[in-house]
Amino acid sequence: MLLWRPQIEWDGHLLRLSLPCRPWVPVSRGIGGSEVSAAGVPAAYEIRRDRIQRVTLRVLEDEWEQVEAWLAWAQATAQPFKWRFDQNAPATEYDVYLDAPAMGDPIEPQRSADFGSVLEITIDLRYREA
Amino acid sequence: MPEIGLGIFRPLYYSPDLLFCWRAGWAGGAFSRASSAWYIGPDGRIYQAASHVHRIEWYDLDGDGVRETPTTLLEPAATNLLLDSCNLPASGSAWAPTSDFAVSAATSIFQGQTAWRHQNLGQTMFAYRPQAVGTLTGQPETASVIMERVDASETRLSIYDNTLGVHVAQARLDWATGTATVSTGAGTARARKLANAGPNGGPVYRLSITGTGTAGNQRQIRLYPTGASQNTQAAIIHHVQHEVGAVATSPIVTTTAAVTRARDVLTFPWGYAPQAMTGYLRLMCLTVATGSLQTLFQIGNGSADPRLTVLISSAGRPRCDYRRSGTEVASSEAGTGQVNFGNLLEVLWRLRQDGRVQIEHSIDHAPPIVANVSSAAPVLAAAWSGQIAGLSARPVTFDFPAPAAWLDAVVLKGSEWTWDDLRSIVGA
Repeated sequence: MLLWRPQIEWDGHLLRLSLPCRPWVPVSRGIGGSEVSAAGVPAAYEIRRDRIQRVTLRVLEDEWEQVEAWLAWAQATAQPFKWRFDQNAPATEYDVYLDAPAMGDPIEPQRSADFGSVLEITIDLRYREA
Repeated sequence: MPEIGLGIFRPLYYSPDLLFCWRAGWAGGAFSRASSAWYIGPDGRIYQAASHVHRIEWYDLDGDGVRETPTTLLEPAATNLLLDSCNLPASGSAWAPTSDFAVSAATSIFQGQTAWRHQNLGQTMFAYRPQAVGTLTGQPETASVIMERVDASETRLSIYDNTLGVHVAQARLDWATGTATVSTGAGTARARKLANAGPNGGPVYRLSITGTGTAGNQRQIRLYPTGASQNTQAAIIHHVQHEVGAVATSPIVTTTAAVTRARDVLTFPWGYAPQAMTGYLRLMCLTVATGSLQTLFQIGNGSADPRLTVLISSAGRPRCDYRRSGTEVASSEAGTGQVNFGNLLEVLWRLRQDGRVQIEHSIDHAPPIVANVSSAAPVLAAAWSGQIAGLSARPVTFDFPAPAAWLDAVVLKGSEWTWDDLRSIVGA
């Protein structure tokens, strides 16, 4: 049984979170456009389709500095990193980009209502095509 | 190295008792190493880290054959004196040519290197590959080899005195049991399994032998890939190393000259004044009792007081010193529980408000050994000699190093925290 405690490898560093993440939400986002003709017939084109996982991380207070450093690096460099949904399951590892919060968006966790020393932040991870 | 921003905007933690927390692989602090270096990855293969990139070495702590535990490897400088450490063809390298083996290339456990399969031709007993390497130093020296089994029963490795024509020390690896013994001479033999199945399908071990020879005598390293008997067995040589020191350090790959791996340095800013504290350190011990002090953790500059030092004593036991000045010293050292190479060491230290210190330690999850509280009680100083802390060596001067593969370091405010409190923070 997997515990879903994430592991992130970024810029030579390793971050293994102590707490499980919340169940994630898959997001499919098409990049392209659509129009509706005068006759009312829709038309669309697709350039690519992004596969995104929206994940809410639960972070102990002493881990937050590391999470902030990782997210700030990902925002500033736009480099991919290795994301593992469960730190003990290599099969759950993917190369991903940080899609949100993007540069300009605040890295703003919320205090857990239940545990004062736990912070939560929701991030969007975009699958990196090979 | 990224800046860790919150550290300038204190208080850092809503939980007021946590002063410092660091785990293997974390960003922050100041890391440096002036050379590249090698480390074991989670798949058991050996990779090279560029200079000034820390090494995350993975360990199998539960014995299931999976390297599930990351550590940060911190070692002092070391030099591999052997040439062509990964290059042992039948001829054409720094190793003496051989006609006793059929030698062929094989897949190396090292990234970007070649291993060499040695098939004994059964022509003679004691078939070996030698390399002459300067003179013996009169100090402990350690030879090591990374071998993969094909069907060999044993492998031997020797530090040989070519002047006297004797083995200073020779280790024998029994492939069936994975145990190392001293087969000839006097010294310490160690065997450490690196993988159940290496890149060519066989188990991989690092065999080492430590011995002390006569200073000035000619030195030779002799490797017996398939042991002493006349046989037609085979084994694969991945890497051979010889260094001055009591243990084999991480592999250093050489070609046409000896190579020195620079020391790893990891320090952290320390903005807290001396106060009652409890600290917890968890590490894989990569040293033995050497007769000198080896620093695990220190707050303060080098040998300048006031400072707090957690160290391995000359007797090989953990010790905690708080030094206000040269004559005002509180010290606590366990009476038993010597640490050894490969131990998982947990240390819990306390600096009390009255200036006394106490240390406790646990080896390989055994019940903690509790040392007496120091008799001396120097008044806590107003400030440390420097606002810096370091792992595996004294900060600033980087002397008295203690090589280790680090898992965690935590410091809490107050001196009454328990093992359970500290272990729960790092999930130990």
